[in-house]
Amino acid sequence: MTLLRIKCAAALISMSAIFFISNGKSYACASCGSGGDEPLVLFPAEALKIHGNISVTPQLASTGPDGSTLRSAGPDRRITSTFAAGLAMSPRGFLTISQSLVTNSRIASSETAAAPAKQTESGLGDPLVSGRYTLVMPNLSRPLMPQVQVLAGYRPAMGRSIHDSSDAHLLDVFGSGFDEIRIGTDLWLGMLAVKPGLAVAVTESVATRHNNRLLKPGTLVRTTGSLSGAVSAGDFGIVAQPVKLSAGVTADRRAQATADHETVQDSEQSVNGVFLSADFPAFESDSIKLTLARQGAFGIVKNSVASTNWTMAWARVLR
Amino acid sequence: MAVMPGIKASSCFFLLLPLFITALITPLITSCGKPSAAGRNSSDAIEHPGAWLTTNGSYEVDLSWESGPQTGMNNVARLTVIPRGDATVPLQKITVTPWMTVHGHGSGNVQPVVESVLDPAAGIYRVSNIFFVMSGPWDLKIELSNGSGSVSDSVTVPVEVPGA
Repeated sequence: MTLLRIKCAAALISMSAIFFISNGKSYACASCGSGGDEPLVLFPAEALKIHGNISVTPQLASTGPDGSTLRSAGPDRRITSTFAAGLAMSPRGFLTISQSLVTNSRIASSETAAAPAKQTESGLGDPLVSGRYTLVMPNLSRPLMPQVQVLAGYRPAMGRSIHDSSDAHLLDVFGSGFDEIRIGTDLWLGMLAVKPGLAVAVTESVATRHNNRLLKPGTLVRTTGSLSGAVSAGDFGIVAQPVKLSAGVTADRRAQATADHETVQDSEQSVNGVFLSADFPAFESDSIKLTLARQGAFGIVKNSVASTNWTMAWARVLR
Repeated sequence: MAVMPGIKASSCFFLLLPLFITALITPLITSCGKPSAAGRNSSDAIEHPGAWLTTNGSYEVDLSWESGPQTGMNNVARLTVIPRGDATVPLQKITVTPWMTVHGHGSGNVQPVVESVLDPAAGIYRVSNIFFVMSGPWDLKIELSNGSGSVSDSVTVPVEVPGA
């Protein structure tokens, strides 16, 4: 309980800090981008952008239906490298493709039998094709009118999933095993000094036959709330352009899965997370973004994974 | 000033839109479907205490652990198949598949091996290479094949793999 209070306090302090360090200027730019899974978001003036990131998850803790942490013989460390490219189709819409390389490692090898020959394996994850379209553009004269984007994405199951794994410790698992379709909406008050954002994305998995069962994960609803702002780091002699800071919370709720058209009891998933990121402009067309995210930061983590992710991303505007 | 109320109304609409969508969708996706019947049997009709009655009632199956169940190790179990009525042993083929139902996965292609090294004529088999990748509630789906080779009966035996 004390730990939970500390975590909640830390999240509140992080978000409050944005209020205090924001310099009051307004910057018209894209939304926080956290409403979807696409790693990069194009700003209105950008036509072509590339992105690369490396994300380190030093510890993975699976949980059961009652929220208790399970003892796992699977990977306990994951490094994900993602490359993405975004192309503007119009001033209002853009498409993004991304592909990840996943490296799973097992550090804790106390097992005596069925020990894996390898302790680390790498492979391609599921690619993602996604797009956003701005229904309502931000307007300086109407700061309380939010930018409204709709987002959609398709993630085909191309990476090896747990259902095709040949490794007893699942080090060769890089994908979900299910095609996924995602739609959502992302609202953002970008004309305010401290910019609130709210996004809801619904992910539907396509029923797929694995192990002679027709499996279908439940529908996932991810809600993301964020606050972002800019601070002039030039005051500290770092860079001349402002640094964008964002902090927010996520809530993932997945309905019960089905197997052969029958609902699997106690299979619903829930996990809440917090994130904090800093986006540093570098040179003329590059930017560096650092993100710290904690899944399972508060509340019950049910049939999911609690983890901390450290991500460093680089993006370059080509056009 | 005349514009302000309109702005506020629009802003409220768009701010409440995601919440409305969530409220609309969540009950729909959490209430559909019906409880699983999964074929777990511990009926009063069983003749051997602790055994599990197969779906078609042709066999009773008893599972005892020689080692395990534990995560991250090669668990070994003794499987006893007791025929009922006209059913007979030994069986032509037995497959055992671990499945973590609540998480929707098994152990991939790492499958248990059923060996006829004990006393198959009495319906006693040794099952090795049973691998549980994590603790928690698992099921062992046991499929029994008769002379024709097709699955003639099956039973799902729940296994609680301890966490510590």
